[in-house]
Amino acid sequence: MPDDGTRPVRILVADDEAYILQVVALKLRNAGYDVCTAFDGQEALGLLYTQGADIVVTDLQMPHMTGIALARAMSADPSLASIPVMMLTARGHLLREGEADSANIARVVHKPFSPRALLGEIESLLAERRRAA
Amino acid sequence: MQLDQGPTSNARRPEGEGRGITPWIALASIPVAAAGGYFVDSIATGWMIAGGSAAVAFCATMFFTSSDQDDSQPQSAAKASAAAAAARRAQAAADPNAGKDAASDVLARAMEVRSTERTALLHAITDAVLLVDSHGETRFANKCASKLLGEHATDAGTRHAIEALPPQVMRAVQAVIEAGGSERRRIEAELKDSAATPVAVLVNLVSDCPQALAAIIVRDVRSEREADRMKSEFVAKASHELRTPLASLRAYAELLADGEVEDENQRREFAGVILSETGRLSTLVDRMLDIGRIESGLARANLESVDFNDLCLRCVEEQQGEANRRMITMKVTRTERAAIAAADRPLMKQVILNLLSNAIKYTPDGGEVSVEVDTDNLARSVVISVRDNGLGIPEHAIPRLFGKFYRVENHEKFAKGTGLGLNLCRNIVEAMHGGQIGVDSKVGVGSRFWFAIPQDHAARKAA
Repeated sequence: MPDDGTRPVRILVADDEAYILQVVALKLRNAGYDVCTAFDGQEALGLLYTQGADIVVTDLQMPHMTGIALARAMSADPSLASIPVMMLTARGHLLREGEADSANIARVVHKPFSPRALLGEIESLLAERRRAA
Repeated sequence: MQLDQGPTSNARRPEGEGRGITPWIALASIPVAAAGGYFVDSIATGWMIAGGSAAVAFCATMFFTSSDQDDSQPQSAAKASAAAAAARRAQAAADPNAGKDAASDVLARAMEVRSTERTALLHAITDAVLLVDSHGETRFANKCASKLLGEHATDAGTRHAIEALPPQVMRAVQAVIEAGGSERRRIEAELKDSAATPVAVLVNLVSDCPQALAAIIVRDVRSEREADRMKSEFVAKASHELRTPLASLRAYAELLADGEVEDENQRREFAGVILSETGRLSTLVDRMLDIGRIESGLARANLESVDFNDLCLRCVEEQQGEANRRMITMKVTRTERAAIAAADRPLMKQVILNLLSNAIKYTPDGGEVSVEVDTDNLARSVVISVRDNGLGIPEHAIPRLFGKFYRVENHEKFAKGTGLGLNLCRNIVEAMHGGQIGVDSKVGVGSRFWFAIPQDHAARKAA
């Protein structure tokens, strides 16, 4: 869904599971979002610098750079710190208390998740941001 | 003073012992009986571990079943008692007083033998066994107590042992002595040593004793804690691996159900993903169950004479379709010697197919995969090698490669897997066939996975 009527909201999705990447990307594209994808945190960080994004949806456990490391790298860089991060995880219990806050993680969604519910979470997060702006 | 000698030493007898060594026998019996109780309890509470429990069980059985009138007394003591009776009968006729003295001596020796044996059993227990009085002063300590609490911690007449234990142990000693035997205390805590060794402690009153004494049994539970940690880690990893295909299944099914996939080809593709992920989930569960059965000793190999030259050829034929699809060249190099070993044929096939499937998965299109069959005459084993010129495995990953749920970073991009295949192979080869499995690899060059099955495994098993 376009955010301001001039360009669609760009969502960066990072997951090392190709199937998850494909299905999340399809759901979000069907909903009108501009979606770019990455297989790990490093690739996602590179895409953020080259293409930018309005929101990042990332898996927690990924090779090279985990979702947490990606979120931390983003919060440490003023040019990326305002981009909200949504964390997908099959190991929610391993996300230590306070870790989500310290890394600027706006939402945590546990696998297996419903793409419909994920879209709902993204829309609610974007609405929050619009209200706060 | 270290109390690791026999209980007949006069210097170490507790006060009020006017009955020769009998109080010591009673004292010696109590902690073992307590240890026996502890042992039985530990089965119910999950404290019991294989290591050390056998000695405690043995001692407990001995002490539970033996008494002065009991037939089960040690053989040497029984012989001494019989000799004493004979001496008593023989000498009573000639000189009643002399006979009494001789009989007393022999009886005392007989009791001493029994006492020494019981002390030896106490020292053989792999839990620390201590007797302390109401002030916490040590009256007896077995060898394990010295090892666990420190050499001087078990000095008699000192509070070193109780001070080496967590403070709640002394409170438990006072509580059980005050209660007069109506209760016992079980404590899980850490020792005050540098490693903060986790221990399970049982405190029990020593009954039938002129003095108020408590028996303390301390078990080092590091291995149980490690087993618990590994179990939790396994559950966390298993949960992750199960959730991943479930996540795909749910997401793809939902998109199809919501009519979000309009293109017919894409609908077919999604259905294919659902089928493939269902298969992955099923394989994962099967492998978890197989590994569990092997590790718990429930799985048995059905040994038969297996010709590995023939088996490898069949396995390569089965994988030929996938190799062709990827334009990968496959070949088998068979040995001219008889490559026959006693093995479970379906399990051997599973191992070879797993190694072949991995080789194909992690070799780029157009690569080469080969299987070599050989025999090692020195080790008397058949050696199967699966080579590829694929990605190769980083050196740091090799020690963890045969572990559970381990996936080499980067490799996940190339192919899906359960992270259990190689662990299952290792279990089949090593635990079920007494063989060996390993890998030589270089990143960018390729890998050689090999396993060796002893040709005389059946004979060794039978022996």
